[in-house]
Amino acid sequence: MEKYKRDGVIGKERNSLRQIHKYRRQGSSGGSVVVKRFMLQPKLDALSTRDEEASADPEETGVPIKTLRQISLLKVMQHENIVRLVEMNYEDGDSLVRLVFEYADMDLRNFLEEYAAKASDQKLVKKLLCQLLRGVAHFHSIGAAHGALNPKNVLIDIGNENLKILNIAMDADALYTAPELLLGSTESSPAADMFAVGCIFAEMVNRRPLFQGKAANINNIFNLLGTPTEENWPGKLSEVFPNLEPHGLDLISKLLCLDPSKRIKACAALKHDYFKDLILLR
Amino acid sequence: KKAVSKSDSDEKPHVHTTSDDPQMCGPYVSDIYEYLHKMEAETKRRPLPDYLEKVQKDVTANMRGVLVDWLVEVAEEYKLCSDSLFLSISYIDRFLSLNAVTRQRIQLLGVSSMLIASKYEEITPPNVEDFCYITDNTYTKEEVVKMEADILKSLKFEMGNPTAKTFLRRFIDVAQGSYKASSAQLEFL
Repeated sequence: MEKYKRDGVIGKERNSLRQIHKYRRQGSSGGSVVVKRFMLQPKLDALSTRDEEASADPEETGVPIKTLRQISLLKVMQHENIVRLVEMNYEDGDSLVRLVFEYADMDLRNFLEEYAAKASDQKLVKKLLCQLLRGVAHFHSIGAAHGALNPKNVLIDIGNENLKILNIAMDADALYTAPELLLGSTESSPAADMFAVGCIFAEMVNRRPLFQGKAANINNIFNLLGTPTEENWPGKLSEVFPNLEPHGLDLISKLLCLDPSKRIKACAALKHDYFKDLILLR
Repeated sequence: KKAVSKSDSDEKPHVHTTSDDPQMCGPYVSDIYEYLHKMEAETKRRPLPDYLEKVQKDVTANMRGVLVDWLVEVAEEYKLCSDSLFLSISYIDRFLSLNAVTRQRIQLLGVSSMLIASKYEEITPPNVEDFCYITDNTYTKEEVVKMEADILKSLKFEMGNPTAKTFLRRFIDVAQGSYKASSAQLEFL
């Protein structure tokens, strides 16, 4: 790790294993990276003192399931809208894995708060959403799902307006969780990712989370989208997004579709008329 | 290998149908298949064909056979899906292509590989204690977990390779077309 020098923290998580650090690469190669540490081999007698992630499930020992699945996935991800894993190394007698990711300036949540003026540009919203969908489509095209999309693991480079999805073991945020998962379905799915994309799109448009509050989000979802009769909700959505163009409203309603089997797919969303006037990036 | 697909006018032979499997959903089926096919061909995800002669000093083909037969029984005992069994064996072969293992530790390699494969594949995997128990406590929890970490490091956390089972399921799915017979029946023919 001598190659890197600590240079601040990204995000606001306090637990050191959940924290993502920003490091600056030493020497001539320059540039910054993002570093995340994982417990590889929890000490069996010291679970409670060392490792929150593993002790969350006392039945389980060894490498946590999420860590194992996500690192395997990271190793095969090669896409311009997904944060690239630069290298992996081990420390502390091999009991910790350190994942070194390419760098991005900040997460989407910070971007919306700190760059309010820039973030209110609807053309930029469109450009960012398009990149988000491309990244998500890549997950789905290799048979994977992200499972925990929210504005804290969508990273933004301010200078070139690039968006990259971070895929590390994070708990899903209930406010971005699809209704079918809140109602008891257990497996994350591409369709559930698309619902989260809808919530993030909504948050970019209005610069505040679509659903708020700590109570069971299912009530909030049904308050906004109506219980399953589908005729009653486009009207309500247009009240929530008074400044969104009609094509955007149509796309958002398809992303937030209650029925996961009818929810729009990432590859179809990219062809939606909302993006028709987007002159983009290759 | 050619599949008939109603919605697709593309002339390439696609292994491509609609499927109830949510992971194989609609428009992505042929993308996923292509990706798996490419991944299968990657050298780093394949064992050496001659690792028993080139790498191993103690382990023999016969021992590997005994280990695999035993793992089949373990998988049945814990009701693991066959993907977990196939993955376990691919981890064992890949690990043995890179590391010489003594005969005393080959069963440990077997259970730790199956532990990883279950974590990767199963919804509710057996825990470390179950895998110690099944070896008649020949190995301790610490040893199983240490071997798990060694395997993950040695295979660089590249655990998601497709197996023969992955493709078999796909081909059966395609061959069945609109028939609704149980694919399990075909798999075990």
